[in-house]
Amino acid sequence: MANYVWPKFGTATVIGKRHDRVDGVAKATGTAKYAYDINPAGMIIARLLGSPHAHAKIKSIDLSPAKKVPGVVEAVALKKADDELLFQGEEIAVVAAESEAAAAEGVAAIKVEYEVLPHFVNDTDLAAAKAAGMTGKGGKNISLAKEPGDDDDEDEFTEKEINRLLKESAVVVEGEYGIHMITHMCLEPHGSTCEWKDGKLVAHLSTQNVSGTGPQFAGPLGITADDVTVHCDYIGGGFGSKFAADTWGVACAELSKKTGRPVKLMLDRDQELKIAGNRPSGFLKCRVGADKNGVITVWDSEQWGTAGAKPGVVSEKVVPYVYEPKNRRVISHTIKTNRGLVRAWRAPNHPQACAMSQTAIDDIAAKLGLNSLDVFKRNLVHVANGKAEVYAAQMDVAARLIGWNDKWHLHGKGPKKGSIVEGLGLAIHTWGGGGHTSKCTIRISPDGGVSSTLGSQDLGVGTRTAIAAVVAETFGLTIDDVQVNMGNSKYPASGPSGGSTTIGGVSESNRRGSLDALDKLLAVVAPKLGVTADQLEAKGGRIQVVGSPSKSLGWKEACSLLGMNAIEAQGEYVRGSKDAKTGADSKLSNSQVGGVQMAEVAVDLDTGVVKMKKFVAVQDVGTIIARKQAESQVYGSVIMGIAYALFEEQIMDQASGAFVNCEIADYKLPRLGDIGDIVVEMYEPESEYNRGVVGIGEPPVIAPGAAISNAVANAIGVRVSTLPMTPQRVLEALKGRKA
Amino acid sequence: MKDFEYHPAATVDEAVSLLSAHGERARILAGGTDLLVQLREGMREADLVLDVKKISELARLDYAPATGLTLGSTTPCYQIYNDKTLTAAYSALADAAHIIGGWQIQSRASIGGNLCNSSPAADSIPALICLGAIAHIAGPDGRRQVPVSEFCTGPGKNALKRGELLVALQFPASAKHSGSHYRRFIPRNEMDIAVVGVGSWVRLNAAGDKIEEARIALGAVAPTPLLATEAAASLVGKAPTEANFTAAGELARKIAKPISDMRGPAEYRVHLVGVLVQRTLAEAVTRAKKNV
Amino acid sequence: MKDQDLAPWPQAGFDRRAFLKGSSAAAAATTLATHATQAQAQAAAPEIVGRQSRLVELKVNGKTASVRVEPRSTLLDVLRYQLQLTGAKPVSIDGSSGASTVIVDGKPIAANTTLALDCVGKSIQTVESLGGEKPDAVVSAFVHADAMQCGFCTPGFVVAVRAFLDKNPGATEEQIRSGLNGNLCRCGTYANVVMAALEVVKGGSRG
Repeated sequence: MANYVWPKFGTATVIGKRHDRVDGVAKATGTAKYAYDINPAGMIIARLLGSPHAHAKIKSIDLSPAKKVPGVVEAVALKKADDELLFQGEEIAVVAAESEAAAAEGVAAIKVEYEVLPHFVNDTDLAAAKAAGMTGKGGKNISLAKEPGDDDDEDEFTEKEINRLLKESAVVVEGEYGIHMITHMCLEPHGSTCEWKDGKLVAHLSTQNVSGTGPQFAGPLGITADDVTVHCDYIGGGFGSKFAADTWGVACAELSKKTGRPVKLMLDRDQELKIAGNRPSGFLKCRVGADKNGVITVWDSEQWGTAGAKPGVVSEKVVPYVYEPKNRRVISHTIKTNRGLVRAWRAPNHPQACAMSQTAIDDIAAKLGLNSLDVFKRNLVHVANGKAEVYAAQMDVAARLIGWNDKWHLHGKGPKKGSIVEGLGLAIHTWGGGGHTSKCTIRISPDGGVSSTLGSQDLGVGTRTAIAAVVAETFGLTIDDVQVNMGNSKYPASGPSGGSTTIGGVSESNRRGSLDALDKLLAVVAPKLGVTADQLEAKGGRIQVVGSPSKSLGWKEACSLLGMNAIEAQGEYVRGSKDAKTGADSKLSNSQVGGVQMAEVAVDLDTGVVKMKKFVAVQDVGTIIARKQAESQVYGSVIMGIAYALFEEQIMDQASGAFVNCEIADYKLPRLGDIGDIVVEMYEPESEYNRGVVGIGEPPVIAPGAAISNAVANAIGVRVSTLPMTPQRVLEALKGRKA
Repeated sequence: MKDFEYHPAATVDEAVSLLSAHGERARILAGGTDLLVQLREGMREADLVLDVKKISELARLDYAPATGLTLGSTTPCYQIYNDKTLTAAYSALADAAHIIGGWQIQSRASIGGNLCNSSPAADSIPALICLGAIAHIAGPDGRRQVPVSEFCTGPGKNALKRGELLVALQFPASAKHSGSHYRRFIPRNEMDIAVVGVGSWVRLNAAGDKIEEARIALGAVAPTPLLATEAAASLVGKAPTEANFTAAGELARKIAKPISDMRGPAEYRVHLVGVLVQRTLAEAVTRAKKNV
Repeated sequence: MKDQDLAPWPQAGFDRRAFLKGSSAAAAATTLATHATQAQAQAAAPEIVGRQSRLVELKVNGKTASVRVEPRSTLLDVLRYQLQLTGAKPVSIDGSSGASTVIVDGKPIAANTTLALDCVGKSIQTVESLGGEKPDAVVSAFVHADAMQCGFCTPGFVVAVRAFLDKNPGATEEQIRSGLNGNLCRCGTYANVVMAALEVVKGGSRG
C-alpha cells in the first residue's frame, strides 16, 4: 500500500501553485449550466405561494381559480386548513404553468383565507421577549479558577466570585454589543428542475450536497434513493443554506410526477430571502474586568438572539471568542420569533460570537488608553486552541501590512480632516476545517487519459481545480491532463460542502486513489524498464527510474502498456480516521486554522458613513492545494464580512411582522466601490505545509465584523454597539445613544 | 405580470389618442426600467403598454448656449453625462443622470421617465427643479407647460391628465458665473435609493464673492420634491461662505417633513438635509467660479 | 435601483412595494377597467400588438433567430427559455443586480427589465458571444484573476466589464471601482474583478 503523504516541502510541482480555475471559461462565458439554466424539452415552470402573514392559521385554500388561469397546468397545496403559518413566506402551495408569467398569475389567483394571529418579530429586547413569553432556556458556559466548597451553592458562589473578581480588576468595561439577523441571499435562488420518467427521478438541484439529497426526494415520492439521480454541475451560491431537497424541491418533483413533464421551480427573490435561510442574531450585555495592562481577569455576560420560528441562539460555548479567560460566566437565552428558520451560515456561531466579544476586548484598550494591538497580544495568554504563538506571529505580519505602528492613534484621538476621521481595528478567529468523508474513482486509461469521478460539488471554492491539482501532482502531469467528473449522485459518494471540509476531504480521497492507481501503473511499467516498481516515480509527464531520468517512458507510452485494461482505483477517506497500520492521524489533512485581520476605515462625522480604506487578512491554511482559489476564498470572506459589518440586515416591520427589505435593491450588500483595498496574506512557514490540508472556506469570514467595529470605535472614540454599522447607527452612537 | 397589449406609437398625436382612449389602463414605456418592475410586482396593471421611444419629437436633444436646452422626454441618462457641454452647462442634471441605477439602467432609463414616475426620492427631480426646468406636455387639448417644481403632486402622482404625455423638458440658458450640483445621501457608494437628495444652483457676481441668485430643491423628505425657497433667498446678496451655506441648510431643514422608513428615521433625514444643502452649495459655487 | 416605488407614499412607515409584496392586498389593490372603455379604445386606436404570442425575429450574437413572444415577454426570458442562452441570469426583479446584463446596440442593458418586442431590429450581444475557440480578453482576464466563485454573477460582470472597457479602454483603477457598481456579487469576487479589469487595460486592445 502506498504511503499517503504529500511531496516534501518545496518539491511539489502542481499543488500550491497558481492555477486558472479549470471551469473558469465555462463560468465566465455562461456555458456553465446551473439548476436554473437546465431547460428540458416540454418543461413547465412552477412558482410558490408563501404566507403573506408573519403568523396565521389557514382557514381554507382554494386552488380552482389558479387552475383556470390560461397556461396553468397544475396546482398543488402544501398546507391544509387549520395548519399554522409561523413566518412570512412560509410555503402554502405551488402552481405549474407553461410560462413563468402564467405561473405567477396562477399563484396570485389562489384564494386562501387566513385567521391572522398575533406575531412577534423583535429580537433585540430581551425584556420584551420575556414579557411576550417568547424566550427559552439557552445554555451556560461557566468556568472559575477557584472551586466552590462542598457547602457552597454553586450559583451563589459563582455570583460572589465574579463580583469579587470584577471589584479587584483595574478596569471594568460594561458594554452592549449586537449583530442583526442576515440572510444567505444566494444569487441563484434555491430550487430545482425535476424530470420524472418511468418511475425514476432526475433532480437538477442547486445543492451543496450532491451525494446526500437523493433519499430526501425518494421517501415522499414512494421510490428508493436508487431511483433518484441528483445532478448539480454548478451551484449559484449556498453559504450553508443548500443542504436539503426542501419542501419546494420535493413539490417540484411531485409536480413532474403528476404532470408527466419536466418542471422547474426556483424561489422568487423575496422568497429566497424570507424562507431559504437566516443567520441567527446575537445581542450581548457584559461586564469585563481587566488588569492595568488590559489582560482580562474576569468575563461576565448574558446573551440572547433569535433563530427564527424555532428556538435557537448563538452558542455561548464560543463566547468570549478565541480568548477564553479562566474566570467567566456566559449565559444565553433563546428568543422565538415569527421569522424564517435559520440555516447554517458560513462558520455558524463564530462571526456573531467574535463581533459580540472581541469588541469588548477592544473597549478595554480604549478605556485604559492602550494600543489595541498590545491588548489583543497580551490576552493571547487566554487562547486555548493551542495557536497563541501562531496568532502572535500573524499579528506582526498583519501589523506590518496595514502599517499599524505608523497609523495608530488612541481611540477618538486621531486627526480630523474636515468631517473625516480614521481608525484601525483588529480581531482574530479560529475554525476546524477538517476534511469530510469522501470517495472517488481514479481512472487511468490505456490511451493516457486520467479522470477522477466523485459525487462532490463546487460551491465556488474551485473543487474541480483542487482535485485536478492533486491528481496531476501525483501522476507528474499537469492540471489540463486531468478530467474531473462530479456533480452527480450516481458517482462515488463524497461529503456535503459545509464546515470548510470539502478541499480537505476530496484531497484526501483523490491523493489516496491516485497513489494507489499509480502503484498499479508502476507495477506494469517496471518490467519494461527492468526495475522494480518501488524504483519508479511519476515526474514531468514521464515514468522514470528514481535518480536516472534517462531510464523512463513517456506517460502515454507507459499507459499503453495497460493494453485493454484501464486502471481504476477507489480513493477513500473517512473523516477523522487513523492510519489502519500505524494508528496515526492522516498526514494528508488536518484541522484547526486561525487568522488575524485588521481593518482601516474612514468615518464621516456629519453623515455617519463608514468607508473601508484597507483590510488585511492573514490566514494559516495548512497545505495549500490551489493557491489562487484559496486566496479567493479569503477575499470573498472579507467582502462578505464587510457586508454584515456595514450594510446587510433583515429589517422587520414590527407592526405587520413583514420582512420589508427582501429585494436586491433594498437588502444592502456592498458593491465594487465599497470594499476598499484588501490584502490577503497566507501564513505558511514549512510547519504549516507539513500539517496537511485544512479548509478555509469559512474562517476568514469570522473576524471582519469585530475588526471593522473596532476600527470605527478607534476612529470616532465611541462604540457603535450593533452591526451593521449603518450611517444612522454611527450618528446615534456619536450622539451617545444606542441604535 | 399580467399580459398586455403593446404598441409603438409613431407620433405624439397617435400616443395622445391612445392614452385618451385607455386612460389609466395604458402605460407609457420609455426606458421601461420602472414600468416593467411595477407591472411584474402587481403595483400597476396595464391593458396597453405604449412604447414612445420611436416618436422622434420625444427623442430630441437641442442645445444652444444662447437659448438653452430642450431635452426630449425619452432621452436616456447616458446621453446627458456623455456630453461634456451639457455636463458643464447643467451639472446637477448630469450628476443625477449618472447615479440613477447602475449604468445598465442608465442606458435605457430616461430623465423624462424618472420625472413622470414622480417618486418623492427620484434623483432627477431636485436637479430639474434647481435648474429651473419646464415640462412641455401634449394632450387632447393641445400643448401646455408646467414648471417642474409644480409637476409632482404626490407620491407617484403628477400634473399629467388623462391623455397627456411629457414631450420634453426645457432648460434656460446656462448663465455665466452659475453652477449647480445634485447629491444624494445613500449608505453605499452607488446603487441606492436616495435617503435624502439635494439639488443646488447658484449664480455669483463676476468677482465670485457674492451670490446673486440661488435655487435649492430637496428630494425624499416629503410626498413631493420641494423647492426650498427661504433657504435659497437667504443666500442672495451674501458671500459664498461655509457659514452661509450652513445657515441655508438650517432653513432647508425646517421645510423637510420626511417619513420614517427602512431607509432611515425622519430625524436622521432632516439632519442630512442640512449636511447636503451645505455640501451641494459648496460644490455649486466651486463650479460657478469655473464658469466664466 | 433607479427609483423609489412610485406607489402611494408609505403610510405604515415602510416601503410600499416591499409591504405589498408580502400582503394579499397586492391582488386586491387593482381594479379592472370597464369593458366599455376598452371597446371604445380599441375602436379608436391604431393597430396594436395583441396579447397573443407572435413570431418575431431577433438578432442575437450576429445571427437572426425566430422566437415566439408575448408582449410581456422580457428579453431575458426569451434568451434563456427559447434560445437556451442562459449566461444572462435572473437575479433581481429590477435589474439592480446586473446579472442579466447584455449589450443591445452597443449599450449594456438589464435584459430582465427590457421587453423582447422592444429589441426587434436591434443587435443583441450576450456573454456567449465572448466565448468560443478564442475567448474574449475579458474572459481570459477573469479566469486568470480568478474573478469568480460560484459564478452565477460572473457572466453579467464579464459583459459589463467588456462594455465598460470598450467605452473606457484606458480606465484607471479608480474609474473601475466607481464605474462597475451596477453588478452585484454575493461570494465576494469584487477584488478579483478589479484585478481582471486592470489586466485587460494593461494588456491593451481586446483579442
